[in-house]
Amino acid sequence: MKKVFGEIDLSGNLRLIEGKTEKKTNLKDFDKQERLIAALTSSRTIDRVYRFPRIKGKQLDLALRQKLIKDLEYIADINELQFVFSTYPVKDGVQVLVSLIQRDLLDEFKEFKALTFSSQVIAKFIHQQKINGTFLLIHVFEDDFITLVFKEGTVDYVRTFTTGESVDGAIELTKEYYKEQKKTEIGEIFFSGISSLNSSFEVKPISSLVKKGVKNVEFFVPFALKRTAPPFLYQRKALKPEHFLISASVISIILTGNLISINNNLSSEIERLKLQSDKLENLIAEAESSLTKIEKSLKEKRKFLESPRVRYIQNLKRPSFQEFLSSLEQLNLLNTYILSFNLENDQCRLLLITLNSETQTDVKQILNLLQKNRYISKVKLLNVKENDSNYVSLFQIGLKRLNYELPSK
Amino acid sequence: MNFQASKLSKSMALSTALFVVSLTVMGYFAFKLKNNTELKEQMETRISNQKRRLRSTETELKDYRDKLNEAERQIRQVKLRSDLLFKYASPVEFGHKLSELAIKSQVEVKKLELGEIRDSKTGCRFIEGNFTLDGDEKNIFRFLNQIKSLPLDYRKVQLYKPKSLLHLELSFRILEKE
Repeated sequence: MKKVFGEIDLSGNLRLIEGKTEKKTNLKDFDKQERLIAALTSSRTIDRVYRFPRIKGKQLDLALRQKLIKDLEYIADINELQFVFSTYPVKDGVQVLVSLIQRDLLDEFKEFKALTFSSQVIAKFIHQQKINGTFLLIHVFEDDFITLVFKEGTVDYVRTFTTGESVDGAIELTKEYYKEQKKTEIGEIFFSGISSLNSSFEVKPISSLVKKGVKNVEFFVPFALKRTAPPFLYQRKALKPEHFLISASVISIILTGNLISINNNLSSEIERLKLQSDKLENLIAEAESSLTKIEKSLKEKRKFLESPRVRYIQNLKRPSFQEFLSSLEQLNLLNTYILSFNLENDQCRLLLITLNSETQTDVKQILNLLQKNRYISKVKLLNVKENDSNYVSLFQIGLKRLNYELPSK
Repeated sequence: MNFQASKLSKSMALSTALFVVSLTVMGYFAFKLKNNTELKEQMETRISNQKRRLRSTETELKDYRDKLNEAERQIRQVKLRSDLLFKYASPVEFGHKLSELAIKSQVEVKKLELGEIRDSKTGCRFIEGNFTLDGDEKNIFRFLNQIKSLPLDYRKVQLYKPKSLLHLELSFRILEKE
């Protein structure tokens, strides 16, 4: 929204600068008050300048309040006044410019975007210009005047005048008062608010005083507002704090709604997970129970299988001597016959006689034949004796072991 | 700066109260959300651990079932083997069987000695025995083939031919039927 700077008085006279165009109108005719940043010039406001030691914050506020109560004791009730103040640091403390107005008068300007006092704006503006010396500035708006005395650029005295006073009277009263109270002569006199001023005193426009950058200072308000943040009396925003609070509450409620929804989803999810967890726990318990049973059963069965009787049955094999002897009988080669066969602890000794043999070669052939026998794992010729062309040979034989064949039922 | 803040307007008070209440409620639910989120994470971790534990138990269970099946198979085999092989509950029963086989093979069993012993190492009961027999070579070999099916644990076998007949001495033991 575009801001409009202006100056007003309590009668509703309004002077605007909107863009570059100057307008004078009545406040009632201006239908965009919420855009207006204005300074109030009225003889019904009270301005005071006080000096305090270097204090600030709540201490300054309290000291100021006490000072105002004492100062305005016979004029007004401080509780019925709205006041704003601005501070200016000086050598041994702080200079405070206070502007006051009745609260009920202020209500007329509720719709303004921002409102302050012209004295505050002018004091701030001149302070920023850093002008030396002591001079008087008379600011005129319609029939109201404000006279301000500046010393070394800082506001030192301010006074508002009613409509009945003349410009010259106002200047004279201010000069006299200042001389009497501060023991200082006011040098130059400047004016602002209007383009020319008829006075018996030598007066100059404020534009001749201010330094470079400001070519035409007819009105303080717009320039001052552009260069600084004046102390606003109150500021009406498009959205009041309540609106922000309600918006925040609505957002908070919406977020709460979302949170409730998320929480509900989470709760049902957690419930589902709990059920799943319980189901899994049951499954684990069942599996572990089965495992225990099977382990126990397996242990029993292994114990049974490892019992001596079962091991004996499983490992039982017989030496294949029957098969071996039968195979020898079937061979019946080289006139060779069994003389004896001894089997003891799987060690077998075989004594053979080969009749009418001329050489030992026959014995070796027998050895070869034995070695090829499929029931023998190893064979060794231990001894050979010759007796009248008969050879008696002694073999040591390792027999293969065979499983007992199961008879059919 | 003194702004007019001494009194809160009614709407301001109400909206502030509304804001505070809504903020408090939101705070409560945000806190609850945080707790629920943590709880959900805990539950998920717990379920993940449970699933892992279940998988591990099931694998173990399968392994044990396989082992149990194998053990049962071995037991069945052992029982079958035991039933088919070890039929003799006393030396008398076995003596009858031996005589029967000898008659079939036309050999004569001499010096037959049968008894019962308990193996001190294994605790198993055995029928222990030894015998001698003389006979024609063919008959003795036939007899040897006949006793092939008996689950004899041969301790000593002696076969020699002193004269025309073949002489066999045999000592053995056989597990008793339970």
